[in-house]
Amino acid sequence: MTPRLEIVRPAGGRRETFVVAAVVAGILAVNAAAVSARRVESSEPRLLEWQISAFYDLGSADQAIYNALTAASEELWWAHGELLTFGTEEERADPWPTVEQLDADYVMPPFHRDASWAALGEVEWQRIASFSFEGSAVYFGSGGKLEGQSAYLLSLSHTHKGATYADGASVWIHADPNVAPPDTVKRDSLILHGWKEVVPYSGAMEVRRLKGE
Amino acid sequence: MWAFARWTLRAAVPAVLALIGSAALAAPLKIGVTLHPYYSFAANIVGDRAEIVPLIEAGNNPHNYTPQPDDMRRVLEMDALIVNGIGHDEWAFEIVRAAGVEGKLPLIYANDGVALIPIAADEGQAKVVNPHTFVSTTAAIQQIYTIARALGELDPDNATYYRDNARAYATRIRRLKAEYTAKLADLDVSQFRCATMHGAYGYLMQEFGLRVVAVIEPRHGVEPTARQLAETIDKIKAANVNVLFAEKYFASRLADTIRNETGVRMYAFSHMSDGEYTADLFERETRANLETLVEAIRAVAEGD
Repeated sequence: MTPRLEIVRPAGGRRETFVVAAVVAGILAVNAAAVSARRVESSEPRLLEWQISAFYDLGSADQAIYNALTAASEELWWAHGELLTFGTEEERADPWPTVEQLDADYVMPPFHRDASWAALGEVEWQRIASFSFEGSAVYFGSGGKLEGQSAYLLSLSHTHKGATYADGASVWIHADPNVAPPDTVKRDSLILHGWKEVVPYSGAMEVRRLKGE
Repeated sequence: MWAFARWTLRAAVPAVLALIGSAALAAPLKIGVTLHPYYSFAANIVGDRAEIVPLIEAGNNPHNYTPQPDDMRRVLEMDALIVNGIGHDEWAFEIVRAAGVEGKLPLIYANDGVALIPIAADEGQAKVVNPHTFVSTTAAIQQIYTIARALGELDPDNATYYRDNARAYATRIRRLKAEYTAKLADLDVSQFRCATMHGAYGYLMQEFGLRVVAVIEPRHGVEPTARQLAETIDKIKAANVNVLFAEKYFASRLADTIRNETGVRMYAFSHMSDGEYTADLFERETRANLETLVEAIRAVAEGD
């Protein structure tokens, strides 16, 4: 009788381990592909080193003043247009409301001096530039008394987009609430002197996030 | 005779057609709105030169609204729809989709230009957008301007009229705020520490320089679990909160529980989402909210 030779594989489960590993790798690969295909780009702007988020980075008082400046900028442009069109010769040469007018006549935050103004640090506002050529103005706020409060700069100027232009406004803040007003509002100079541009998380961005548009 | 009749007909038909055409052109826009404050904003902007149509009937809670067949009929008649778009009227988008006018009906996103803030008292947690931009004065004015600009683009003949109305309305709102900030001027706010049931008042409180220490609802329209409620009560005690603002038109057992546990004073704010749609609702309810705020601060300051 011929002896029967049978090869017995070791009971190490190597084959099963390989199969399980292959299945796991397959699942991971499919998931990675699905995640990659369904990835939605964040609607939030990527901040540059010289920018700061109004939503994430500002304290409550800074946020309130920033929001007030954003709302004010719209009406400031309208007031500017009216002064240029219907103003006296003197007004046409200096076609932006003064801080005193914004306080007394327009009752406009954050310039209007009331209890809210006091609660938000009693910031002293100045209009440090007003030009009729291509319309631009700069309002500067400093001396805020709250802990951690910033200094503020509202810069209004036309934004050129190719052959057309739009009325633009940007808000900058400085960590030193008592910083001196800048000599120029050119971006590079502001950055060099420690100013940061405030970037909002706006309703439009939230709509893009919610609707994926 | 026939020649005269033909001549009359030839002259009259174009005139009648022109009249019909101009009447059609002159038909006022029908502007839809999703929330009560947007009715007030739009009505004050357009005056009598457009019609404002609420998308849903008065008396519904916009936090948990279920679209109805009538809503689709209404949306089909609109020339544009003003929306919050950042979480307070998601049902409006369902209605627009169901009516088959998605991408056809111009949507005016009132919050496009508003710099959003997180729900108050979210420190240390993931920041969540506060969609209640309409319970405020500054963010409300920003929205009024956005709506006026968008309506001016839809109806260029009336653009200047809309803008002027928007400015006059904004000035009235600012004067309303000024009236109440004057009342606050002599009060000591240093001891005032408040919590709110609903996260609706962050914009309003922030523009007065006031801080909300805690919001009871963990998320918009969501009641807290027993554990979250216990944590909030601990937080209220630890932060010496002395005022709790509940909701004017929504009874809440939770508010009573918190008052009994902590001894805070209770007041009620309006969320501006109740009653009939009227042009003066926003100013009326804002006045009521500011009156309540002054009363609460005065009570704390005077130790009543």
